[in-house]
Amino acid sequence: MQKKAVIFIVNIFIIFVISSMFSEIINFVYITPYILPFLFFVSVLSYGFFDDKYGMHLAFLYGFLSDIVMMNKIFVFSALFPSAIFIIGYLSKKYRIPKGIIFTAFILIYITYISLLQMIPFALILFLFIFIYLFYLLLNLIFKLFMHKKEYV
Amino acid sequence: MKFVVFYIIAAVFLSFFSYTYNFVVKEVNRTVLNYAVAVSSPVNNVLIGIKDGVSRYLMLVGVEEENRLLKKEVATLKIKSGYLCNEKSVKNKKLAGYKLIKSKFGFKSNLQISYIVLKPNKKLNLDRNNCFILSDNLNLIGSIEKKQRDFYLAKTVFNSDFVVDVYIKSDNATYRALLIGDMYKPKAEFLDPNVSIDAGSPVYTSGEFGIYPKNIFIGRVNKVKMVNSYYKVAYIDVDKGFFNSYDMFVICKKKQ
Repeated sequence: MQKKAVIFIVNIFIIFVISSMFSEIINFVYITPYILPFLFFVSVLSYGFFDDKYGMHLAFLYGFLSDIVMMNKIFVFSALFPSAIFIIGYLSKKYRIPKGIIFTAFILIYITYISLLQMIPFALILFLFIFIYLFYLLLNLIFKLFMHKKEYV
Repeated sequence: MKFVVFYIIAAVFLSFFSYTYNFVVKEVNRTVLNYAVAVSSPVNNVLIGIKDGVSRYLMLVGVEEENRLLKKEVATLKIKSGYLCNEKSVKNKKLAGYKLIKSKFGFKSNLQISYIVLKPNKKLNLDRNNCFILSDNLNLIGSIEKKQRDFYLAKTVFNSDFVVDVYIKSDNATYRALLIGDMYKPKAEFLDPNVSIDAGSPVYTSGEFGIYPKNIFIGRVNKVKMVNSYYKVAYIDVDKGFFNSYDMFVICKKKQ
């Protein structure tokens, strides 16, 4: 239990640091709206596949941070992140959907939303997709190394 | 499931809290963003370094391109300036009466500079006219001998058969002489033994024989030598710059 809690706290910092760095790099290439909350969401979702209970706590924490970063008056992400983790976890377990497909779908939804918000070049769409996918792979690797636990899906 | 419900309720409470105590939310936002900036500062420094490098490279490429364009512009201006100088010297040398015909030229062979082959832009009537060739600086270079198919053969001042009546201007006095072509150094012969001519004095055509037009620059005196105390010979430096030029001019004077 104690070991789990320590890993959880370490992962909080890891997610914060890596998300900040990746969002910095993406924003350096092209100012992309909502990139930090989305990276938080991707990392939280990735964590949720390893540990659903602590994943829920992490989802609330990073939902809260996303609301703070976005200066939301209504704390939407705080409620949305844990709900999304729960629903995705439930559906992926029930229908045995591979993790890669879920993340690819979310990244594509995000990129579509961004391209609807503003005109972005195709090269940037490609860059965003590859970069966020790399981010997910990196976090997946880190969580695997930390937890030595079989994934749910 | 219970956590989800709990967190949704927490989110609702947080929303109420943020409405009531907005300054707290602002303070937390500032702190979180400060931490995010601090954490990502190494990445930021690296990115700024890369950006600086790339912008320096791009600037270098831009400067090189600009340099190339400027060089091109300078070359164009040089050519324009050359033409303007030509026009000016035409006026100065009172060549206005003669029409300058542009012409391309080449050598008969690499070692043979006493004859050159010309292709003027306009057909020349050699039966009625004596035609002469001038460099792009309007210095006299030679005279046209005959037509060979579409080309014209001309002998230059470096040909020993080339003879032209000239005058040398030195110390406000003019001295008449006969310029005879030479492979190495054309010479103005039969100068009075008593004349003193400075090196660098200009040599012009005198036009006294009625063949060459008057006042066309040929070259400058290099040195003067006495020949058996009968007369003096002035060796003339002819500007050989026209060897590197593609164009020259032809002027024609009606035969008398």
